[in-house]
Amino acid sequence: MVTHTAPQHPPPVIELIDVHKVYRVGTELVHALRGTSLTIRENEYVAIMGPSGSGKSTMMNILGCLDVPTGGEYRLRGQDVSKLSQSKLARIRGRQIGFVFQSFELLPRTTALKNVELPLVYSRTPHRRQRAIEALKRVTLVDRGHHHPNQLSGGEKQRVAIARALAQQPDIILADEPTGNLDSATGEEIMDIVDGLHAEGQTIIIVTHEDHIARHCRRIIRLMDGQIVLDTGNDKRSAAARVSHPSKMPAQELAAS
Amino acid sequence: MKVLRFLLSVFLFLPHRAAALATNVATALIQIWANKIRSLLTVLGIIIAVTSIITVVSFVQGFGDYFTNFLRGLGTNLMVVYPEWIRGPRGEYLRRAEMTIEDIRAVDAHATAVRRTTPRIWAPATLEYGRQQQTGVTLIAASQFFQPIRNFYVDVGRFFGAVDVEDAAQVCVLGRELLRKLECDESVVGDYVHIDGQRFKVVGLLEAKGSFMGDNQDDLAIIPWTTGLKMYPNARNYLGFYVEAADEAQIPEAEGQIVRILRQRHGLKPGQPNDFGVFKQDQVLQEFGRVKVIATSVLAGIVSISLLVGGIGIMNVMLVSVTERTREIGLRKSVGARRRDILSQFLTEAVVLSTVGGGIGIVLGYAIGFVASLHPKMVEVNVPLWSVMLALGFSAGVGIFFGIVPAFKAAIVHPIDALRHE
Repeated sequence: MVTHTAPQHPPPVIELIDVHKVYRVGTELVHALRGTSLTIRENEYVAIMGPSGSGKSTMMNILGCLDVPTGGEYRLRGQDVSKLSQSKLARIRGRQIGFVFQSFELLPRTTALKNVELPLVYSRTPHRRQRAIEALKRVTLVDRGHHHPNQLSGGEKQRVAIARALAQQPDIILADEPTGNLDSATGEEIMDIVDGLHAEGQTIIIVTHEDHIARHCRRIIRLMDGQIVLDTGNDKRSAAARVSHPSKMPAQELAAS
Repeated sequence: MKVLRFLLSVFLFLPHRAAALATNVATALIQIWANKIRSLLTVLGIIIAVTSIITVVSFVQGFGDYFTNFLRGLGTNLMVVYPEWIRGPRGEYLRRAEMTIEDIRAVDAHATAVRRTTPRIWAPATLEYGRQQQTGVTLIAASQFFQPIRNFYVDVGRFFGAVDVEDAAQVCVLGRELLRKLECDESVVGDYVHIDGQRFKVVGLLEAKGSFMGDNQDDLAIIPWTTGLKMYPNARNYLGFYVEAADEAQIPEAEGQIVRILRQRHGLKPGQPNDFGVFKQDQVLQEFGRVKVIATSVLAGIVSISLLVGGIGIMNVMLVSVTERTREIGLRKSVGARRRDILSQFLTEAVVLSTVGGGIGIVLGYAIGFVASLHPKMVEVNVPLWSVMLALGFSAGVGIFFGIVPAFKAAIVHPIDALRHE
């Protein structure tokens, strides 16, 4: 609770206000998000957790502007993005959001450097090569720039993917199970890099169901049946402790969310 | 309405920028190279179509140039008038119509659209020089005007002149091919040859004209027509003649005047056919034009069928490619690609694919033309630039037409579905 009442609040990056998402699957309506509200501020390091079917994928799609809510409002850096056209959403994805996927999603037959340049190509950013090299430096992979994905290890691939997410200097990094396809040692290496980015001031959201990944984060949000059932706020120690014993979460934590 | 606006924006922004286009082309080439065999099979139809275009056009063009050059070599304003065979009621040949020097003089005197004429006697002759003997040599007997009328000049020595014609002098000029066959060089000028047993002084050598449809035009000897009449007295009543019209535009008028004068002199009644023929160059061109139409129709048939097959092949492969690369599309969309970016990427890929096919076809077409022109009796084929542009245009057009559906399919994939695609 201390952080919530801290004197200086960094400006919010993400504001979800009573967001609903209803899918039609065949003739059935699936209520994936049921009135979710959430604020994420600059340089927060957030884990979104929950069992499958809890709505965490839907949450990620909406946060990543891959999808729009059917109700409520989503403000990204103050701009309402919940009713934008496909092409405006694509522009926002390209410039403000850096995705990191479980299975890396690098283009085969394309060098690491070219992969990192891809978002810059679509946003027509000048000095692409230079910026891509800088992004690769941040994941300490600059010497692998001219390798193709099939010449890279899993950890290296994910580092290239992180560099690609960083290239555009996005408002948020949105990582979906970033260590899901890696062994635990390599996974920890990746998380160390992500920790480093957070230390440099990057806002990071990780969607995961693994406690040891969530333990890196400063704030944990747990979803269940389309609603937030836990929001730890920004306290490293309590976040880690409480996620280990979710049954013991205090009632006022719920109220705070 | 929305779809229309989207399509419109696609065409306006395609390509948004040269750099984006270059990236798309590079991506396309990488894809094509990664699936070499599949790409090659896909563009087979395009290759056949373009090879046909290039081959047929270059042959037609080659023959066209060849005929035009030949006709220009004959003299642009040239006509040939010759006595016809008179036919009986059942179409059988009865006898040759008569044509005399008086007919020719009348044309000279009264046909205002005619610049000049020369009688022409044509006979195969035997020619001897030293120990060499040549039979079946083309012997032409004409006046001193042969050179300008036929646009066929001596380049060593001199042509015979008016005095030689007046005197029926025993002088001749020889063609280069004949010279070669007689195994002698230019020193033959001033020397004597025997033509059908008579002694002739060689006064000049004709320039080389080359061959036409395998016939060498330089295998001939020319003597004054008066001398020719002495040697072949029977020709007196069956003379043909060359006519040079005043200029190219007056050729039809010159023909009309010649026909009128000769019909009157031959006492032909209205309804009776001409007992002489007038050969004009445009008859050759008309004949060639007919061949051209046939070749072009056959070409159009082959080309449209193979372009259709090729186009469907490209559409099919692009549809497969879009499905295979759904995750890639999802990734591209997640890093900021808009629908029109994806659309132009796949459209570019289809166009590059078909244009590569077109390029292969052009190379094959050139190769066929080159191999064909190695044959000694083959004309020199040439591939005009417009046929290359046409072929490339056709292939690119097929790429756009058959690529738009797969590209559209790729563009409208929802990014979430694309990223979830297995």
